[in-house]
Amino acid sequence: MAEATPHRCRTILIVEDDAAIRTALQLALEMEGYHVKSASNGKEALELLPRIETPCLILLDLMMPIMNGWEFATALRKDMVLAPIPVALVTAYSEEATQFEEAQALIKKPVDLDLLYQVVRKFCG
Amino acid sequence: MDDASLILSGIALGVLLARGGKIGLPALAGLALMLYLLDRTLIGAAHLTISAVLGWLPFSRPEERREFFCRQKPTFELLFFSLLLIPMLTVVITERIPTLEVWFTHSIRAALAMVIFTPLTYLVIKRPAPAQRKMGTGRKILRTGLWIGASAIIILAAFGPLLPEQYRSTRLAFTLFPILISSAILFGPLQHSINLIVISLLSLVGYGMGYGPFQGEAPEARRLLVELLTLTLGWTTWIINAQKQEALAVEAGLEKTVNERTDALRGSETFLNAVLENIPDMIFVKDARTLKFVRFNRAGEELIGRPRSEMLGKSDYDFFPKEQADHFTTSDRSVLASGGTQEVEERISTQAQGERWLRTKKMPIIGSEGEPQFIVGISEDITVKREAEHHRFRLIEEEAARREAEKNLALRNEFLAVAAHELRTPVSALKLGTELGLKLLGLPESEEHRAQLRELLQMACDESLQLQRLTENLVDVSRIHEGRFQVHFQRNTDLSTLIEKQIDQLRPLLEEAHCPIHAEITPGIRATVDPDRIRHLLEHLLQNAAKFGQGTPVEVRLRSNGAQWTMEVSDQGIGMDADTLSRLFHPFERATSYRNFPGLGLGLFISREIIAAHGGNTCVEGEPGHGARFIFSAPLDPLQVEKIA
Repeated sequence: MAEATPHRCRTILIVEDDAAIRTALQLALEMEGYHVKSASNGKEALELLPRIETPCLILLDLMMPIMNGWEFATALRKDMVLAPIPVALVTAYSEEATQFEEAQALIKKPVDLDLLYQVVRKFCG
Repeated sequence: MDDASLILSGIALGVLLARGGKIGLPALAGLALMLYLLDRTLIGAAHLTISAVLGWLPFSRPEERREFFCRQKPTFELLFFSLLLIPMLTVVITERIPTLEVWFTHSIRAALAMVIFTPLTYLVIKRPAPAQRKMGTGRKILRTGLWIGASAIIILAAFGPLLPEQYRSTRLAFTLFPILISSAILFGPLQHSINLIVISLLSLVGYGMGYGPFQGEAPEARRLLVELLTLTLGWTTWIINAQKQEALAVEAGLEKTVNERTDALRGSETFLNAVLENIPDMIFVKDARTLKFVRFNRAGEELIGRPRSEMLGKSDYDFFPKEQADHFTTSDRSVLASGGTQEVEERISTQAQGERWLRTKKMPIIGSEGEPQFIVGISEDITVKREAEHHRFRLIEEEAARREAEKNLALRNEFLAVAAHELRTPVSALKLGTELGLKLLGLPESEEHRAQLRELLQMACDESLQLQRLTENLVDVSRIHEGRFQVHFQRNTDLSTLIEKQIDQLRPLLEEAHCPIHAEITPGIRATVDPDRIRHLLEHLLQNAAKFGQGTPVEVRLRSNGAQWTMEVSDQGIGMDADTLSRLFHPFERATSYRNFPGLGLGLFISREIIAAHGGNTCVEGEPGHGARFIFSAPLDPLQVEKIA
């Protein structure tokens, strides 16, 4: 487990191709007072990251077009600046995801709201 | 006993001896001794012995003569004739014990004759038998001349210088004998022997009575004449016999060769038989004309289950069902007609082993006249091999089927996993949305919360639609597999408008994927279609374009040639290779990794079925990295086309 991010950082990045889930997650997190940014695939997220405040957590889907979650996570860990950001997988593909060492947390779809808040609180306070 | 009776009884005894059995020279010596004891005179014994020899010579059996003459060494012959026979003749003729001088003179004379005769004798012996001789007239004349010359030399050598002047007139008489010798060699032993006997008898009688060429000569000259005549008689007979022996030897040699050959043949037949009998394949020989068995080996007996004694001389019809026998006969006739080897696999009903499969090689044996005489068959029992082969094929087929089933199972499992994932995504959104909605309801009412609630409800509505689409796709696939996929045609549908509207509907999807869309729709195309299905078709294609186009422009074209409409959807995205092209329309088979390109992967499969249900065709073009182009065409009025068909 990576070291927890400082409390003052309240930005969360959602990387998810499904617009509905993206919207719902964003809404759920905003209701808790977090600042949310979203991207529809890995490539978009990598392009977005340098332009925003470093997030305290990335909620990452695995199955995405253009650049999938595995590729994104691998690229993220190679970047000296971005590497420490904790990643929580949000996926329906649980069997494969559990063997994915790049992630610090796993949230299975359908998403349980309490679990989501629990994970977010753990990393973002 | 007087001389004449002694001579006659001697000849009679000789004949008797010759015909009476194998006694030979020792018997003659014994006889001579006996007669000496009877007569008590040396002269009488010598007389009788000489006469007996003369009687024996022509009448003896060839083997005995061969024993007597041919087996002797030339030196012995020389001694026998010159030192024993000639002096003995002198004793007989002069009726007194010869003086050493007489003995010597006569011996020298005989030896001289012998020396000259010997090469000629062997020359004659080495010649082939009379029947085998082929001689031109020139050679005959030459040979006769040779004989005359040789005889003249003998006469001159033997008698010319040695004889006193007054005896030389008798030489004319001797000229008869070379001619006799020649005729003997020309006409064979029997005639010659007869001639010699006649002449000898005449000479002896003439000498005794003082007739013919013997008349008027001095007694000594007459003696010499008889002496030489007798010498020639014995000599010539010897030659003739030697020649006959040679012929016999040749004959015996021939017989020996024939026997040896026969033995060799018998040996090789035994060998061949042993080989044939021990070959594990059935070998049979049939007569070409009657197709009856003439030969059968042990393996054949064991296979058919009958001894060969039962098979030989019978045909297939005696042992096999008519149908099989007909088949064998047709095959045999075909081999005989073709003249070449043929190989057939045939089933045979045997008494011992039931139904067997044979691989039989059949070939004709051609006789010296070019006509087939026999047909040979070599049959290998391939029943076990065949069964093993069938078993192996069955195993291979089963293995292939098992692999196919396993592959299908794996594909289906993968598809199920994908489908579960696909279904879980909207369900997840729905669950999250409704939970949030409930949470919002618990919060104090505000404008912001109302807006959020509306957004959530809209999302839930969209996701329900998405779920509906997914389930419809699954239902469609199930219907296609069960052959229950149906279309509901609507005549005179404005296809152009339908497509344009659907493009507008799907524009946000493409915009989200950053794919600009260009549409070239020929207006006013009317066709009989199922509008819902056509909308689905375009939806599948544009979803794919958005997914695989990777932000490149997407083009949609619709046109008509008056008989059918054609719709093309193309992108400039990742494209595909030949292998992917071939698998593109298979249900459950994914052309790309699910990780990068989520989705059920049923779109193209269903699209093709939709067009097929419209009586049309689907066509796809593409290269890796150069995008893909899907072309769908269908008749404007599929119902009309169906009717015509």
